[in-house]
Amino acid sequence: MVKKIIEVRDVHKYFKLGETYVHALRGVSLTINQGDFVFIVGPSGSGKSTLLHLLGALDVPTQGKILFEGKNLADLNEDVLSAIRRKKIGFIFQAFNLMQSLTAIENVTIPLVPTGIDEDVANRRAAKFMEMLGLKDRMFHTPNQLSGGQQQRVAIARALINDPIVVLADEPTGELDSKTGNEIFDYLRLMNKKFNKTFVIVTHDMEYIKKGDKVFKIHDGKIID
Amino acid sequence: MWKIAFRNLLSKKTRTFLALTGLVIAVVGVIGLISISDGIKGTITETLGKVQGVQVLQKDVFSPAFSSVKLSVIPKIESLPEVNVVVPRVFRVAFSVEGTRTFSGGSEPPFIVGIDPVKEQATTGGGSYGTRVTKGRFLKTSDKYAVIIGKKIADDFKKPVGSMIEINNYNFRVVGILETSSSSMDTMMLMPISTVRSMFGLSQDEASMLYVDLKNPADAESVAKKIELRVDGVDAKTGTEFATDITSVLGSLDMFFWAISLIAVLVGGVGILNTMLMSVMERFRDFGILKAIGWSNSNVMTLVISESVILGAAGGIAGVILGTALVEVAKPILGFPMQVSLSLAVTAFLLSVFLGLIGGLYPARKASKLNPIEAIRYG
Repeated sequence: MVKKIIEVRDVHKYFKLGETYVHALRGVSLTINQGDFVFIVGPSGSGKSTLLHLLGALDVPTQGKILFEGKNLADLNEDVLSAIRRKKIGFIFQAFNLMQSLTAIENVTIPLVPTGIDEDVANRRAAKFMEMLGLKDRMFHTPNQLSGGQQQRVAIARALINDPIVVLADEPTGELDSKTGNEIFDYLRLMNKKFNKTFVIVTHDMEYIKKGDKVFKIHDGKIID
Repeated sequence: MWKIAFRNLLSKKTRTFLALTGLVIAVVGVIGLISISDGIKGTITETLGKVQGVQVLQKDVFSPAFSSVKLSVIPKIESLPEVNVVVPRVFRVAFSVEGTRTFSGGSEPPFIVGIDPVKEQATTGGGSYGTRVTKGRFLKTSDKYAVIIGKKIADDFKKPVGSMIEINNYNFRVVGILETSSSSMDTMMLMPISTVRSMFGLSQDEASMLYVDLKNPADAESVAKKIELRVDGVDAKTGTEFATDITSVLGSLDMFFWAISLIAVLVGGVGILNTMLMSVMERFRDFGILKAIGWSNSNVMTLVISESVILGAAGGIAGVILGTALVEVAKPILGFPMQVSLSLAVTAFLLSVFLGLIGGLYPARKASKLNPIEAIRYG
């Protein structure tokens, strides 16, 4: 029995841009199951990042429902949404977005700081992921001492540290060359297989989508395939 | 949380240092100004202590030369807990010195003051004549025809320590010279109380007045009232009118110094506000990320306030140390009374922490209210 994690039902999203409204999503429906390795692809401006933000409880739809483990995100207040992000979701961003003042391992454990978890426990957990991601000897480096690929692997470890149900990645290889990009996808796939973690990855690069189980093509705010 | 706050501060050393400098200047300013104010207060209170005390005279008699008080009332007064010691004094006019009539008409006559040397030296400041003997020595119990003369008498009659002087037709040896800034005391002649009594045919159980030396000069007024209640037929006088004036002057001095300090504190506060605001605006993206990965608004707020409070505490510690050191260095150079009390140091430190807290509130709120999507996209 496949477990549904996120169900998107006829979701619309409008943005106010100056005086005009932008209709970013125009009735999107899709389902993401436990263990999926899913791509959302489309040209820039197609609404794929907006959709990812909605999936990640960073924003709520103007119309329609997003059921996250059966709960409609639109009904929840900001504190509950941030608790869902803290406990159930991992994020990977295009620009890595690590905190420059902290070491790699501190960046990995930062999502755990508000949980009050014991620092040693957090560090052991971080070290485990970092070792799997080939960062064993980079744990105490700061981001500016790491290559782009290494930084993104730190970000992957950070996305996994809270043992999320789903990891959402927004153009995770957008700032990397294709060799490094391929490596990153291999690592994401490894984590997906090893921990049966669900991954939803937004990209505009069609080269990688053959690595996915499922591909949603989005164009002008609609799923076209 | 604290660790992250520390790291963030350390990663921008120049800015952190500048913010600290602002705080340190504010704290040093407060310490410097208030220590001067405290120092002045201390000196004035000490000076007040010298003229403070209660004088007990016969009721409705205003000059000690015509007053008579029985020594039997002394125990009643000494039993008051505020009282240090009660000193009897006999005042008489010296009508001739070295065969010369010493006063005529309106001018104030020179006084012979009979004192008890032992009790007189038990006074803490008050009317203690002992501390004002600048040449020679104080009277001893064994002295009989010994005198301490005021500086003016010594100069007028050219009487150094050791010379003989004739007062009211009695010969005395000058054992000390009294020098004060008070003209009436400069013409005083201090003698053993028993000698004065026998010169003027007074009984051994009376004095002209009693000088009541207090443990704390501030109690003068209440002690004077208690004495008038307990002892019949006396007036108890204080210098409190003078003291009240001084206290109000000191109060406004204090207000003035605190007002200047407040300006220093405001400058420090605006400095830390500015620093934290800049630092928060530079890190919009970081806060956006933290919120995206599940930090709540209050987590983000706590982080920013922690940074700001660390700044405040560090500035406070550095400011107190530097301020105290500067005061210690400046004290001998300025020749100015300054003192850094523990309570001043603690107040200045807490003030700095408080500034950190207040200066961090608005930036923290700003950081916590960020929309993570926008912060990540545009930060």
